Amino acid sequence: MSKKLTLLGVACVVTLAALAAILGAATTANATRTDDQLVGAGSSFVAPLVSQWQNDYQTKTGVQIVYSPIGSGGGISAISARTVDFGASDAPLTPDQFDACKGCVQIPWALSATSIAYNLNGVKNNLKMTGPVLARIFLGDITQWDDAAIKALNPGVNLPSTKITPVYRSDNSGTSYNFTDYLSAVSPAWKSKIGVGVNANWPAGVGAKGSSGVAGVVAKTEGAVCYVDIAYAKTNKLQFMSIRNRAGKYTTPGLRGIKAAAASIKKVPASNELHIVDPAKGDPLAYPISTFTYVILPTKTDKAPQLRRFVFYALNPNQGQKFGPKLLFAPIPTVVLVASEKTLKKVQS
Amino acid sequence: MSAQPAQYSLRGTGRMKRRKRVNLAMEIVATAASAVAVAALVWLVVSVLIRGLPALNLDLFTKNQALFGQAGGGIANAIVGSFVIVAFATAFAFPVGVLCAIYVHEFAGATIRQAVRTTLDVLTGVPSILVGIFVFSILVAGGKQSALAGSVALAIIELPLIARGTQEVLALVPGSLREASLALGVSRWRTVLSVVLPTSLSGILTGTMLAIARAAGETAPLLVTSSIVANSTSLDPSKALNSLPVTIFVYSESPDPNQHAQAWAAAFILLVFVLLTNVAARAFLARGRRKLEGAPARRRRLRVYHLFTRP
Repeated sequence: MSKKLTLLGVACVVTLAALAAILGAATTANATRTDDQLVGAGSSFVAPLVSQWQNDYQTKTGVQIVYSPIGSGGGISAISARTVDFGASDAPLTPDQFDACKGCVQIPWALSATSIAYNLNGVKNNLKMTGPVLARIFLGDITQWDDAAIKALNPGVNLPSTKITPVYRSDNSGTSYNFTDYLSAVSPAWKSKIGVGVNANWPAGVGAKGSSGVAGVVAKTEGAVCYVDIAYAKTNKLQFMSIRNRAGKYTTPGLRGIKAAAASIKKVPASNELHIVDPAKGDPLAYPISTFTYVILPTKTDKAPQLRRFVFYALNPNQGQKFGPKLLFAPIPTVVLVASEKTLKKVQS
Repeated sequence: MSAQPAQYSLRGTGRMKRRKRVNLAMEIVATAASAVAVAALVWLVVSVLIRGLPALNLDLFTKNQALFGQAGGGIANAIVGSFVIVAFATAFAFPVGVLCAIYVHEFAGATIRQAVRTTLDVLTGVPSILVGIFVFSILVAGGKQSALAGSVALAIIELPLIARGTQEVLALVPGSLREASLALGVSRWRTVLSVVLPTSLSGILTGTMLAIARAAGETAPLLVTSSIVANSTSLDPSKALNSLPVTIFVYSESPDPNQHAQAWAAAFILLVFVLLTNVAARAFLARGRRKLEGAPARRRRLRVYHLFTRP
């Protein structure tokens, strides 16, 4: 009996080892043949829209889109290391990042806005706010909700003396880029002290990871205020502010406000880098903290046909873009669409 | 003689009460400490269960993540993925670990034995994030994430545990068994295979189960090798698969209370798995020990003795 057990034991060990070896060989052979999958990572800003595309695209073409919202900074490093097939970022690539990416293009594929979400029980939604006052809040100069500056903008609103807790993105975030871009445009103090970037030396408040992390902290903390894409504010039922634009009107991050801000684009530069924060007086409806978000593709890749097909689907007003409005992504304007499609042709095998 | 008696007097010093009180106090302290340790585990299990209970339903085990903003969904792909990753990790680590232990115990000289033993002990203590980024730099950077890369990382974590566990059990096998087998003309390798291994099989399985329980909960290696995952259940190890520890980590950062409950439920599933594996491992070990120290060994010895004492 012990001999049988021994032989059984030997057989088990040998089988396991052989199985491991065979499967290892087979799967490494298979590893390059993942035609049915496109892997991407990056911006959490565009994640709600991508999750709609994932569902629809797989039903239409059978290709599975795998996307991980690790933040714009993570997306840029992932595509630079070619660990993923496409990266997504709300912050346009800097010249250094273009070099590090070794032959990449950025293509604006979605358009939405960063809302200023807050949590104040008993206070109405859409509190009025201007850029300079907002900058002072995030610089830590204004520490309570019943500060004179905020009261002056909102006469007739009963503001409590709760402490203001600014919440910022602790990871390298394109939404941070968008917000600091706006603050630098409206507040010289911010521009000289902090500047623009995917991350900053936030002087006040607490940090959280990802759009969902930030929204989560605000939802749990009385008196907190943050900057987060409007899709997350809406889903988590957070209050958000109406911001004064250059025309002097208070606008909210709705589809009309976003579309009006994007209408300020007349011509797209060669690098596709677009800034639509604090747009000129032109449209009184423009929401001043809107932003495009980009997909980053390598110009030379084995998966060029699949990637082109997917991004084409995403840019198409009747396919990818039509999922946008429900999540407060406005359809990208025609002039940008033309430039995007032209850049897409540069992605070759 | 009259100068000594006082020192060695057998009469009590009269401090019995104090001694009894000190005894009692220390007993109470020791019991309380044990109670705290047990209570910590019980409190952990109960609080995980209470927080995860709202999400423990059939959907959790059969559905995958819901779309953004929608409620419901489950962690089916995480459970399947964890199973696949740990299965491959054990398949890689088990043969290597057992053979390593056999070499160290049966065939190696004293210096090599010590060196390998020390190396294995050091390997046990390497932080799992280091193992993770090491495997990342070799298998993932420049390529794609995959469950196999995660399995290799977990195998590195399991290997020293299996090897050391096997080594301990091999040492428990009585030397007389080996000597008897060798005396009968059986080759050394055949001795190991037919005499030593079957005797220590339960102990080897114990070590493996403990290693599996440890690897199943490691988060750091999986975060860097298998975290960009699809929203569907898959058995394909060449792609990145979702896993329970990664799911717990990601969901815990989400603002959605629904996902928080699912994270707790996933934590509960992981906890139950670890507890059951540990209990089963102890049961196996107890059974194995009884076998080694009980009747069968004596029977074998008697049989061999009979051979040598034939008139």
